[in-house]
Amino acid sequence: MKANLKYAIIFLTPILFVTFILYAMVLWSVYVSLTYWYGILPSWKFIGLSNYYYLIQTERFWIDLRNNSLWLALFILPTTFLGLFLAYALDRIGKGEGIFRAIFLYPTALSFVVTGNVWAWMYDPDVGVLNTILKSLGLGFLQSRWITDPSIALYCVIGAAVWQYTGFAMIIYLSAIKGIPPAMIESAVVDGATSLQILRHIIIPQVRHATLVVTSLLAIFALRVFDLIWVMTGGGPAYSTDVLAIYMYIATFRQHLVAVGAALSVIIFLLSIVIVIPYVKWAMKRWLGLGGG
Amino acid sequence: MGYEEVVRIRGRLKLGRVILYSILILLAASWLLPYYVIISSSFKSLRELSLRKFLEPPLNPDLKPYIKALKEVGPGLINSTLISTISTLLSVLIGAWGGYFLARFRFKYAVPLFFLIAVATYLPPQIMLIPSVQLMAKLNLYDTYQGLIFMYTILYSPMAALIIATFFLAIPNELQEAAFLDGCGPIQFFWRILIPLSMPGIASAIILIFTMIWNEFLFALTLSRSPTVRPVMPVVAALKGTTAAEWNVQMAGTVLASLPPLITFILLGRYFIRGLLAGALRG
Repeated sequence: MKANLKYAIIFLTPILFVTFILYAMVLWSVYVSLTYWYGILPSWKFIGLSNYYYLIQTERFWIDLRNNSLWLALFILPTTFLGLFLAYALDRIGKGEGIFRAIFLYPTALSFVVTGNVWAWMYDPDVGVLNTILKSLGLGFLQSRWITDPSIALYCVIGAAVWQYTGFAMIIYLSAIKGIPPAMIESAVVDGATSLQILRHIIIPQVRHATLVVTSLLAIFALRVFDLIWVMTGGGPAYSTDVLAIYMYIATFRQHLVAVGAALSVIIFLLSIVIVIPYVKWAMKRWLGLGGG
Repeated sequence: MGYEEVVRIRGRLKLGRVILYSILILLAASWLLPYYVIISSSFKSLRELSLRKFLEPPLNPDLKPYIKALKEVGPGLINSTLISTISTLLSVLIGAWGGYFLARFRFKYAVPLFFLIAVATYLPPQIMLIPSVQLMAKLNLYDTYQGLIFMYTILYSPMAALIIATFFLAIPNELQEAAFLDGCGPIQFFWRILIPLSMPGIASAIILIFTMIWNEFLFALTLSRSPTVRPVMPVVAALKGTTAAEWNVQMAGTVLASLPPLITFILLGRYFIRGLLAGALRG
């Protein structure tokens, strides 16, 4: 249907207004990051890239960058693999698929605050669940200080995120696997292919688009992750779980280095947008048939 | 294929199936364990909790932790209910209204606009945080329901437009053409035909966005201060400080705050999943 201007204005004004405010806020943050705003009251003195220069000289910034990179690798890989495995397994078993699907997916409906509280208790070194269970299983030697041990705290927090997001990866893969023509798998079974061979030579190539969806969205999350860390460790001990988003919040609202916080938010934005723009272009073309972009 | 061959394959499949089920059951158990432990702990007295028999259900289910927790998170639950419900409805209304035009009309800027809205959906919240505080201060909306509703509506309308437009795209063009030939205008078509037809899509958007706003933490924490406004998540996040070593109360509060989205998920999981897929642009 061809559009006419009257209806374009009627229908598009609200959503355009909202979108305009969002992009205006992005520009506003960029501007704040170039000012001399340290303290409660805004200061609009323009000082160029000094805040960015300040950041690259702080050790904390580099620790955070390293931790966010670890998140990218150690969060995305296990979540994707586990999601794919579960989707494949659930598609094969038939009976019980629905109940298993719900069990792996329910953490997706939880808040990171809830997940954080739950796992903080699982990991608590003194009265926590994991240490108690390990001890009762006779595996006391595996007991650990978990999130209070700087050498493993980061992995523990990432573990909680894997628990929360695996179901999401699974559901994307499951919908892709359901789209594979059953004849393809049946003929492979008749030819004597093992489950692993089917997984490797049919499923994985057929669901590569889902892999792109899963890894892109998990990466976008890994760059902005805040709530889970804030609740579980607050970035500690000794910055071992600190990430850019935590530093951004602390710089802005605790240290009142608002311009530095804005610079950090711009850095998070730039890192994300590198993934978001190609992803959206590709997804619009591939799934919605809206080419160009 | 000979008889023996068939038996051999069957046997192999059966064994494979047993192994697969065992792995799945083990994984499922570890996926349920954390939430099971906080539910069972939330019904235990501190005394019973100190026995650290986490896998066992409570001996004498105790409601005191819930009574105490309700005192802490009760106002937050009310605030969150109001704020999430209103913001969800506003976002879905704005999203559906604009999503209709984007999905069903051909015009030069449709694709670039869709692109801008989709990108806005995936912007990291941090980049909006400082401006939102300033905006709230300028509009005198800091620490008010209206302020949070305003911000959430702005943050989640693009996502709503995206999800709903994905569903609108699936409705055949002939329907709209026929309606227009009968003299029905776009506004009438939207309310009388499109919305009733797209109820599953609308429901998916409502459920997913309600869940996201209810679970949101960063803006809830930043844009509210007083107990009469503050949504439940920042309250729950602070329980560790406000209830000291009363783990059972913390767990009860955590369970209470997680119930609305969890119950929705259990009852209407189908819509939740469809919303999740559409929100991932995986139409």
